[in-house]
Amino acid sequence: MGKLVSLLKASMTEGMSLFTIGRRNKNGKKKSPVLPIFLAIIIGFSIFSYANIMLDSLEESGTGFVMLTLFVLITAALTLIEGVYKAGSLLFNCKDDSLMFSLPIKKSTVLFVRVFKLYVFEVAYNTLFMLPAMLAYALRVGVDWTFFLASVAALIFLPVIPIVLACIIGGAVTGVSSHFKMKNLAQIILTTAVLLGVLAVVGNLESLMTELAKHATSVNDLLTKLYYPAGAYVGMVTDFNWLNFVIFLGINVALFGLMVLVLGKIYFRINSRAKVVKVGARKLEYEIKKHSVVGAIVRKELNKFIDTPVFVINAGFGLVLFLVATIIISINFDSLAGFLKGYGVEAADGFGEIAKNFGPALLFGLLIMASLMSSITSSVISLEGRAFNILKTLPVKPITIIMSKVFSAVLIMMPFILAGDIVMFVRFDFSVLQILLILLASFILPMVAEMIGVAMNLKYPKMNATSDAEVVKQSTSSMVATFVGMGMTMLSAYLIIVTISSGMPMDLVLAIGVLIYAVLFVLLAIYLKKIGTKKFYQIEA
Amino acid sequence: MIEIKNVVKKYGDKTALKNVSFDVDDGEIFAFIGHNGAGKTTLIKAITGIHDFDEGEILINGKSIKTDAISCKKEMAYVPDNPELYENMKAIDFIDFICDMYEVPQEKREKNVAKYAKIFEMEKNMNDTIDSFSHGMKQKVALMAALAHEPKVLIMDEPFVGLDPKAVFDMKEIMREMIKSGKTIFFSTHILDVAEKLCTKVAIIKKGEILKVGSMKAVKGDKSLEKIFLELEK
Repeated sequence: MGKLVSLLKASMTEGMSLFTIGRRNKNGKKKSPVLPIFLAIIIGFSIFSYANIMLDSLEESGTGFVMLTLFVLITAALTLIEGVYKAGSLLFNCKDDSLMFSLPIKKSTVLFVRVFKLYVFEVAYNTLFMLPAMLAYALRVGVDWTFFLASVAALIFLPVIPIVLACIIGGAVTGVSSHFKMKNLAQIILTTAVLLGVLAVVGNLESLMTELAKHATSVNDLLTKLYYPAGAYVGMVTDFNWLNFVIFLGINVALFGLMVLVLGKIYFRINSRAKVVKVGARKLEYEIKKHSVVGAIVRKELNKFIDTPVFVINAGFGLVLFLVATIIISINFDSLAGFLKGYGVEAADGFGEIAKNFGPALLFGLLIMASLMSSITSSVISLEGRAFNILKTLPVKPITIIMSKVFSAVLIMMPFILAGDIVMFVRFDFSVLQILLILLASFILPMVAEMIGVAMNLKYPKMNATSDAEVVKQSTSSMVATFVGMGMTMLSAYLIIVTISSGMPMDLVLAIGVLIYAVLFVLLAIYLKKIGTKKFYQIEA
Repeated sequence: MIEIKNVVKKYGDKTALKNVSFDVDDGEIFAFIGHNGAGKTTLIKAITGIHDFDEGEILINGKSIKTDAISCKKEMAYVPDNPELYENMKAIDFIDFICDMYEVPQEKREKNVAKYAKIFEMEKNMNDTIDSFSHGMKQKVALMAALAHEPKVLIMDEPFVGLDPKAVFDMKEIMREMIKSGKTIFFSTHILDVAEKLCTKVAIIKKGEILKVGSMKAVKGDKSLEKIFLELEK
């Protein structure tokens, strides 16, 4: 037991820099906790407000607990999706493999420690979303101590089932892809297929619920059949009993233990296979090619991107969703127009006018969301690891290196963004000015998003990660960049809706929007040149 | 030429380098020796611009690493103690990348890559990704990348660690050749025999302070470098 505690302590200290804010670094400087805390409060408050809006309508019928159910389902789906593409990188082929497997401990203990690290992060992440909703419910409905007991248990145990599933899927994907020569590509394809499958299930939740409702005896029974933890939690909130509480705890602990036990049996074998680097036939000829400085850095960045599955899936998923969203909107606009009419958006000439007004607004909104939510550069500095010292010794200005990283990320995003633009241009009625403004936005928005990402990573670097997923998904910079993107998306969406509702012409809305982001672009460029360069030199790899 | 003048580096309350001063002239191989944690890597990182320092000045061929870092780096190459390279790149792509950064002309890089690939017996491995290499092979790639752009000043941190005996021999030959053409070599090492035989000058550092610096002859006198080092470390 002592060994396990020591292992967990070492692993958490090494890997969870997100929770070490406030600790002094080598130079005696403290990491500032202000920005992460501020963002967490903003997000918490937004969720609290949203939960209250939901409760407004639900409490009239005395079904406020449905809001909690929805939050449980959404966080479970997010944890599963996140867990699937993090598990492959967090559990297998880690940088501390040599150390861990040389220690006199069971292989399943190594697995346990790594799964536990993923689990702790997800508990924190889930708490950020669930806690405001729970507080909103407690304040609105009026609850006793059993609600708080059930909620604390829920915060601790709700991530277990998604994590268990994610680890099994992650193990299977890594195991299968390790048999291929191009194992990274195989891992990307398999993980994407699994994620699309999960999304398809989540997308069809309505029909699934209809089917389950036929056989359910109550709402609680329906929820339990749909997703056991949701039903169990709501059951404890509405009608607490100790037996159900113990069963809920027991099932989660048992599932976690069982997964570690079973996956632990084959864990070492899968990990060993995943580590094998297949070398091609020896060739004496090699190609030497001269590139410009920026060209060489961009090539290096793209090479790293393609070779890091968790990086590709993290960035690519949002971009693919953007493209898919533009296609779905284009195909199903009739039903969307009907939906808008339902909210009182009437058009004098029916569909045509709605399409004319909302096509550019929708595309602009989607562009903002797709750009700001997929911050590729929020981990590009951290992913260098100790090799960052190579960059520091090069006779190249830091701003050139920083902006080359930004350009690389924008280069990855552009094909998806432009394809989405074209789909919308073809389907909807855009004026020449609107097309020009959208194309300008299609360049400026990704640049702004990626400049924010790299600025965050320069501020919160994590140079000693044991796996790529740790920096891509679990680092302070990636979290802060995501939260900043989320906040800016929500604010932009709000401003677009307000300005359109006030009768401002669409061309002007777009022009002002593009202008605001262009100003932000210039400010960020100045920031990166002045402050970013300093931060670049301060990073110690 | 490297001029180090009163360099002080602090980590919070701890002073890692205390008023370190010495010069490394053109055509010299300079050995920098000291215990683990004495401040060798800290000084090397300050010279190469990886770390900032709190006081003092470091000049590379008359240019300050603080105020004219890019010009200094153009004339320098650095080989780290632990070759952390871009593991997902092929060896040739990594060397090409470094050459691109130093804007090495095509002909020059072709000539040098061929030369060093042959010397280090890496010709058959140039198309392999670096993550498939042993520690020694990675060290060879780091050395090839450093030498390919023909630096005027070569800085190395424990360059012989992990190299096979033939590569150590070849590396020593390369270093001797370099100083014949007036270049400057500064490296840290724990292998005192090599330092004694190869180097023209030496500095011994302890707890951030230079205990002794000068020509190899002047520092060691009639004794071996190992003996002098152990005496000073007492």
